[in-house]
This record gives sequence, structure tokens and C-alpha cells, in this order.
Amino acid sequence: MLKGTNIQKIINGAQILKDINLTIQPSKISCLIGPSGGGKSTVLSCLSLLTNPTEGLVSVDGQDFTFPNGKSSYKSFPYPNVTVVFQGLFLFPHLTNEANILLPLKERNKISSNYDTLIDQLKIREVLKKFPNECSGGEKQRVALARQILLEPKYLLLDEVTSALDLETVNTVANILIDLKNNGTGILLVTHMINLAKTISDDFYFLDKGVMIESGDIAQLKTPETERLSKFLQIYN
Amino acid sequence: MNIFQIFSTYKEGFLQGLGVTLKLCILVWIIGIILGTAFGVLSAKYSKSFGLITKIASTFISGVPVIVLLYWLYYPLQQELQIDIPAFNIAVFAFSFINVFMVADLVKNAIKDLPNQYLLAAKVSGLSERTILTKIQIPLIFKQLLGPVLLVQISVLHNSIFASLINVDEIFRQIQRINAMVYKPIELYSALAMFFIIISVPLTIIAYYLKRKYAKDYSER
Repeated sequence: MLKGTNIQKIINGAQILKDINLTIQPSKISCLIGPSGGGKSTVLSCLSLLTNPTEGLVSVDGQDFTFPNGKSSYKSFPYPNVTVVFQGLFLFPHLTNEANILLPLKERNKISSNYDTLIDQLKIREVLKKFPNECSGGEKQRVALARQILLEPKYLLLDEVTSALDLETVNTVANILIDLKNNGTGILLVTHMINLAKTISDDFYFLDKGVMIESGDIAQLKTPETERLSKFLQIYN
Repeated sequence: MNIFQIFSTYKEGFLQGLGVTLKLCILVWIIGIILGTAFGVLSAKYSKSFGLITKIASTFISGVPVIVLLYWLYYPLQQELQIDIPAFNIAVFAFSFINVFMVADLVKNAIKDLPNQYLLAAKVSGLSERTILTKIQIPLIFKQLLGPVLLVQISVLHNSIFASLINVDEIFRQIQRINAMVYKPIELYSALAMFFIIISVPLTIIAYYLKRKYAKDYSER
């Protein structure tokens, strides 16, 4: 499992994250919800070690990574076994969408047998020869998803990857994520789409102002324990 | 005596000047691009040592006119050190110094301006450092540098006429010499302008071609 324990993040004296505990288990989808600016993307960065936590422990399948005083105590992190689809997507702008997808696969000498299926499922075959700046936001999101999914990661962290998609495509992505989960991938989904979260997630984490307010089984979202989560759900439901 | 007769009569001097100008520029271009790129990379990586040197040198270059640098190196410095360096070598040194640090500054800024997010995306995709460098960083930086670096090289060509002021027998000095003998300033300086256009235009066309080939517009619409 991918686990963050007592994660703290302080930037320029401001506490961005406080004592965050979060676990992503294989064959499970966890969702991370909360208002904008609450620290969700920072949690994701810390868990994937793209940002060093100021304090805390990140462990991946028993391998521990600690951060005394924000300094890393590790040499290499198991990318792309743990991988991320960023909110900003960050497709390489000088490569076609196809090259964006194939470059990491070629590096690993591993063209997934799922390649054609996924490309068709995500309806991106027509844009493969295009450059990212020639595509819509939704097309870019699907290309970015394909790039990371085809790496067959053990843990997939997704930051608002359905925000520019129409409902039909959100359903497609939901089904793909469920397939991945059934094949053993652990997924963390950062989203504002509460209905999507309720439909596909097994458990949830609710983060506000850098503090984990509430977490638990996804069914718990129907009867939140805290007033803060209740109010949040009233707005976003 | 028309311009063709002048060139025919003084073709030896004219060709010699042309050769000296081209030799000077080619040396300065090669030195500037190779050392400038190396210094730029080092400056981006070690901002407190190499970066500081590049910053100081760039400030010096932008503040001191080329001609002052040339004069200072050619006259007082040699006199002080009691040495005798050929004017051509002084010119190569001075123009290369300027070119190296102008290119280094461009390279350093291009490296620093490269959005870190692309590197993070490459990292989480499991790309090796070598692949990140060769397939992501260098192409993106090259695209950004192409135009500015070529413009700097064209300015090297234009500035090379200042070498005549420290007695380098380059094209401008040869034209002046011929003019002193035949006094046909309009024809001769027009021909000189044509020479610079003939050299600059292909460079500009190459820059445009490379820009079209490698510097596709990747900006988001």
C-alpha cells in the first residue's frame, strides 16, 4: 500500500498540511475531496514525493521514505509504479500526443497490450498525430490519462482529471478506473465531482485548510459526522 | 571608374578583407556558441559561482561599448603588460568574450524558464535522467534559444567592422583604404552594405527555416 503518515508541509512559515494520514490500498479507489485551496494537490505531491513533506513518513509497499527537516532520506522513488496525472496535465508540448504516450512506454520497452483498447475507449485516436496545443482541454485530459494508465502503475494519483470532460466521457473514465481497480491498481482521485466520487470510490478523505477533517467508508458521505463536511456536500452535491 | 572596375582593380585587397571578416566571424561564432552554451548550462546549475560570473560579465558587456573594450585590450593593456598580441587575435578575443557571455545569458535564462512541471511529468512517467535531458529539456530549450542566438550571431557580424579601428584588415578597413585611393564613397559603402546584406540575409533565412522546422508554436490556444 501507499501510505502517508503524519505528513506536514510548511512553506515560508505557513502550515499547508497538518498531520495528514492517508492510505491508498491496492484494488481500491480512494477519493480526496475538499474546497479549493485546502491542500489536496499538495497532499498528492507529497505522497508522490514530487514535493518533500516537511515532516512525516511516506511508505510504498513497506519501503519507507522519511523527511527529517524536509530533507529527503532516499535516493530513488519507485516511479512509475507510483504515478500522477496532474491537474495541469503537462503533456510535453513539442511532442505529438502519440509521442507523449509512447515515450515513457518505449523507455521501459513495454508497449501495453491494452494500448489500442484504451486509445479507443478514451476516443483519442483522431488526435494522436496532433500536438497538445491543437487539442481541447478534454482531449488533453484523456491523452494525459492514457499516458499514465498505459504505464500500468501500482498506484495512480489523479488530480481533477475529469474537470474538462463531458458526462459521457466521465462515465467512460469511471469505467476505466473501475477496471484498473479490479486489476489491482490503487487509485487516489482528487475531485470536486462528488457524484463521481460516490459512484466509484471505496473510501473518502475530506481535507480543509490543510487538515483532514473526516475520512471513512464512502457510504459515510450520506451521513457526515462533521458539520464542515455536511456544508461542503450541500454545496457540491 | 565604375564599381566593377574598382573591384576588379583592387580585388586582392577586397578579397583579403572579405576573408578576414569571415574568418573573424566564424571563429567568434564557434567559440561563442560552444563556450557560451557550456557556460550557460553551468550558470543555470551553479548559480552562485558560474551564474554570478555570467551575470557580472553580462552587465559589463551591456555597459561597455565594444569599441572601448577593443581599444582597452589593444592599446593600454598590451602596453602595461609589455606584450604584443596581433590585432586579429585581440578582436577574436574581445568579440568571443562578448558572444560567449551573451549566449551564456540566453542559455541560462532558457534553462531557468523551462517549466518545472514538464520535468515532474517526465519523472512520474519513469523517464531516465538521460531521456529527460535529450528528449524533453534540450528540444524545448533549443526551440526557445534558436531565434535569439542567431540574432546575436548576426550582431557579431555587424560589430566586426569595429575591428578595423584596431587595425584589423577586415572588409570595412579595406573599403576605407580603397576609397582613400579612388574616392568613390557612395559606390564603395553601398557595396559594403550589400556585402553585409548578402551575408546577413542567408543567416536570417537559415534562422527562419530552423525556426519553422524546430520551433513550432506550442503555446496553448
